[in-house]
Amino acid sequence: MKSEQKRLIERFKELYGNPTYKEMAEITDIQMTRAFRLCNGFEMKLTEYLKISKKIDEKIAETSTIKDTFNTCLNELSANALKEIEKFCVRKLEVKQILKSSIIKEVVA
Amino acid sequence: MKGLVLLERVVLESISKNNNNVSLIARDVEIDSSIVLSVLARLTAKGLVTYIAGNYQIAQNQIAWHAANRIESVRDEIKELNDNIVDTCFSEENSNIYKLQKILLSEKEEKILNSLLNNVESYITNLRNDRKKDRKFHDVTSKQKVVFWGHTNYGQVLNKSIEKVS
Repeated sequence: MKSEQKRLIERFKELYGNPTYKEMAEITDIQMTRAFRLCNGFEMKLTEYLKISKKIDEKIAETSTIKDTFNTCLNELSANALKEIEKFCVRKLEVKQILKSSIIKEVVA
Repeated sequence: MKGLVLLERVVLESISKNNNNVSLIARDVEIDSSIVLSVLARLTAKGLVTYIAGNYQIAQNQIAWHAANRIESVRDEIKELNDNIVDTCFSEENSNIYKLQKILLSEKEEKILNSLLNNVESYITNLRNDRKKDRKFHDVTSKQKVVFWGHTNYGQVLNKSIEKVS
């Protein structure tokens, strides 16, 4: 599976709480058999990519105002304050990276 | 990042207690062994741990340790620890203790408070020393209590808060 497609599907699953193929089809308006194929490496059409991307954006927008908050921070806060936020985010990402690597190791094992 | 995250620190603490393989460490810190393995790979890459003949050991790599123990790194680590302590203590289903009081103290009262806090520190230090001597004592990292104490001037905290964003 192309890495960009894989990343998109993983992000979609993460945001929608690992939906079943049926649920994925209902959310994205992509046929269930097609959703199954996409999750198993079939190449995605541009329209399918856009549908999934749109659903990801919608989910992020409905659950969080984080992008707006980050943009406001970038415009308003001092360099020191931004550095502190960056450090906080980097630490969260480090922990996430450890957990992601552990899943990969489990799959390989 | 050259500093350590909490997961890395706890694995290092476990190795320093002679837990030198993945399953021993996982049991000691009560974290899934796949996560421990992932942490060990990172610690090895950072030069803080060596893997020799099937055993993980603390590496004697001064440069790596210097980077991990820089004041800035340790401060960030303590921030991560504190952040999670507060969230743990304020979750509903636990019996953890987190106390915080604000009070104006006279010079004499502050001396008394410091003396009491010194007693707390001595008590913990003595316990730690006693356990080092007791060969039968089995220290389980995840069962340890995280205890913290100290005080500071409210005004300084407020100024720090303002200073950070201006």
